[in-house]
Amino acid sequence: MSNCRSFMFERNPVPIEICIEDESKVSFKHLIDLTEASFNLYSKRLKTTSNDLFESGNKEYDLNNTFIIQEILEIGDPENLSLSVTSNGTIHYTVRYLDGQSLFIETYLNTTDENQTFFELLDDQKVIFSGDCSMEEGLAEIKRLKNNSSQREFCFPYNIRQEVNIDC
Amino acid sequence: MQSYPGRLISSSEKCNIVVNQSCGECLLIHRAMTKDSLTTIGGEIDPEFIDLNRFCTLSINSLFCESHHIRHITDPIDVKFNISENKKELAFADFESNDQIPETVDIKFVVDEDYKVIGFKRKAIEAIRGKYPFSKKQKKTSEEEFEFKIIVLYKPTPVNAFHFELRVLGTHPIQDDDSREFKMLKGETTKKVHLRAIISKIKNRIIKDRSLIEVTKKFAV
Repeated sequence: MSNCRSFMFERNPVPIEICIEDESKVSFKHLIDLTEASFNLYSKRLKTTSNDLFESGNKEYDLNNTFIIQEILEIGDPENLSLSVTSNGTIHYTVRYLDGQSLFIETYLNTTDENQTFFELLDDQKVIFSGDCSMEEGLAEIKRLKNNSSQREFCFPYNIRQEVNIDC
Repeated sequence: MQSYPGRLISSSEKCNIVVNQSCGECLLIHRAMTKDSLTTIGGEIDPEFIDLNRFCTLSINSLFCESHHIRHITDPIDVKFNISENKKELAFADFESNDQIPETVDIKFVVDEDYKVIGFKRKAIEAIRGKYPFSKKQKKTSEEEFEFKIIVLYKPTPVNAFHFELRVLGTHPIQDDDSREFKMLKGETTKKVHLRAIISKIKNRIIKDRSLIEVTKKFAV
């Protein structure tokens, strides 16, 4: 089943129609298709700032998007995924999981230095994980926390936020 | 030629009513700086609408909710009026007394119809608070944590009695004040790593709670 939605985009005079095949199934291919369509649409914003930033965004996306999707699916059952690229130079993933938790990954693009990535895993009211680390480290840590939490072994040796009150 | 709406003109009496009537359920609205769709292809609020530098002193207007008998005096179009002459005296000055009340016929303005109007409930934005910076996994020593919060200030101008401003406050020490008290942050001068972390967390909470909405017609609350 094909699901098409219309989007207004500032640099286009007519609405753009984006079609996602079979939205009922959240599969690896579905998420790859969705993020590819999103990146192609929103990464144009980087060009309004600079071509260097646009190139940096393309590199970051090519390097990490497939890995991020793989990890998102290993972390849990996603209900929804959104990717955006902002004109001030960030790539922003929002993932809602069926267990009610939301994962946010925001990478600040840098044309002269390393990119900086922030992670947050939020429950309804509390911060479960919050960190400034590499893509590999951040996603591995979140996967470990989610796995531990499903086994009811709530131990957070580092990155523990004060909002969570747990005895290890 | 259309004249500037008198309901927007400040007076001491009107400003007293506005500041006392604005409640947590009222919307705080502003112009979006992009004409793109508010939601992404993935169906979430597009973070493009929560601008990094703009957010620290964001100009907003109150759109009264249905619980107020004076709700009819505010309208989404209020944020589309753009003063074209004497901006300093009319649009940027704080309204302090009735001596500043201008004649509506003297006010030159344009209506920026093309802009999308977006907003959030006052109580939703005032509830956002948290800690920063993001912790770094590779650092073995514990980093000092600071707190941020958002406040809404009433800042009427002579031509906008419903004008408010958002302010982001943080507790990290700054050049003039090394205390851990809350201080107002400025978009351009706040330490980049702190500002990024705070705005990133604000964005995440707005997206999580879906608290930013497009306001398309009057009394959309």
